[in-house]
Amino acid sequence: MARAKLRVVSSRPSAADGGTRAFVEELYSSYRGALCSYVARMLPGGQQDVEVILQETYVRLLRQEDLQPLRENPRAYIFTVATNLVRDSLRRHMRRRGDYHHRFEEQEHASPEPSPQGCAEWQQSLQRLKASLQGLKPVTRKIFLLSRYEEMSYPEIASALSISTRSVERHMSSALKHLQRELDDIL
Amino acid sequence: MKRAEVIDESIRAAAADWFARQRSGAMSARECEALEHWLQEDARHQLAFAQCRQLWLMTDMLADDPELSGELEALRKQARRTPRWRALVQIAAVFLVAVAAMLVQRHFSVDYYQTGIGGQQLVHLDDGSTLMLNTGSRVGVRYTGAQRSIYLERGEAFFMVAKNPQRPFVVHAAGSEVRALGTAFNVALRSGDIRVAVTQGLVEVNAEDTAGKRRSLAKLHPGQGLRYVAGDPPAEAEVSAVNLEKVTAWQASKIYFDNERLENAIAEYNRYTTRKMVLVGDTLAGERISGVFNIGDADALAFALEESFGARIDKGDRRILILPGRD
Repeated sequence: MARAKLRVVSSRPSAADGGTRAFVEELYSSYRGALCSYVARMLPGGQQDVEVILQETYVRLLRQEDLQPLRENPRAYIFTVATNLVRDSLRRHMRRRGDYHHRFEEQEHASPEPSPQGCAEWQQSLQRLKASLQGLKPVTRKIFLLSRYEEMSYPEIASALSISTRSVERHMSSALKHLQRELDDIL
Repeated sequence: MKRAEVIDESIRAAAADWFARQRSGAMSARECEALEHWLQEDARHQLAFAQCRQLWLMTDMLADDPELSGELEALRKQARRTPRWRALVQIAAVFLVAVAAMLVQRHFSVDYYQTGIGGQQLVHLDDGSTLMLNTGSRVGVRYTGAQRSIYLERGEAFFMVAKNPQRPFVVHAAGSEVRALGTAFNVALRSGDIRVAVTQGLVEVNAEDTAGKRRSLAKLHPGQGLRYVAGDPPAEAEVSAVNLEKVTAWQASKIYFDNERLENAIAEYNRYTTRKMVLVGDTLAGERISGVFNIGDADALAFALEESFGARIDKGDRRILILPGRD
């Protein structure tokens, strides 16, 4: 095939001007402490990973074209950016873990898989998450576990438990609300 | 600052409801839009929703937990177990359904054709019409004496219809009907959007509105197209001129970008391949790309990205990473 010619139209915003930079800088530094412990609790991998997320959060803030949402609700905005980055990082982490697991089996090593190394905060968060899951009402817990770990669809769960798909959804939602409440200080 | 001041209980609750709804995998196009709208409304909504996703991901880290696995083991047995009398009733029901289905099939036989990701298929129908299925698509075909009915369940198809005024050719897609006499036209159903484009003849588009009432949206002539949200068509349909070369490019296994945002172009490219391209970071997401590429020719596209945007390409067996260049 003929290499297609590309017409390149850059729409990258120009580098933040001085005023913006100062504004973002000030916001960022006022939330940095809170953000740091927030990220540490949501992410395995310790301080190094936390620093990476904080750096990237800062860079993203600087790159914002429209500062209005940031002005209106700085905390929510900054934490959303960080949460999304944490999510991506956690996904990568799980993929790595999956790959590792795979290679491991291929090589038929006998020793057990080492527990994921992570910072103390993260381990603590996981333990609390587990406790919260165990604190769910039995039906709700059942539904959550089937959905999460058996990867059963709502209709599948509904027919297995002889309830409606709608109530499966309601139980899933109340499970999440329970987790939100129990882990309030982590979130 | 106390967190509760930022995200109150009601926002959290709404986020949990939305998340549970999204997990159902059964959201309508309108609900998807409503969710998008809710998220855009307020940064706090976005945060609460992001936190739900984060909680969900974190629970995955507990998948190997012995206590939870033990509980799950018990659940698994319970969920699969059915009392004997119910099993008997079920067998009887299945039998009845099978008999009924056989009877019904004589009248309403539906043949299904589908393609996987990257696949395309040409189907010759009994009446001399042909349909070409694009990637990841599925159609049902039901011919009766009075009508030729096609059900586009997902994806995109191009139809060349053999003329027969006594037996209209009707494509059904998410509550819409595209009616044709002797024509050639394209129908695509993508994330709740319906797109119709006509290359030959005349096509009539009927759509269900939010109240479930069906009405005529437009009559399309060659070179004209229509795009709207399935189940929520506009009051005044806006017929636009379409680039036929672009609409039909996929039939020649080509993909066509016209000043497309790079992230959209990559998403489009990925529809045709299992070896997905992944745009890392959003530095390049908003760049614009134009050009024609062969479907599945990742090397050409990667090369173009390298040349034009200075992107760094990291090719793996399962995915190709596109990283912004080092400045």
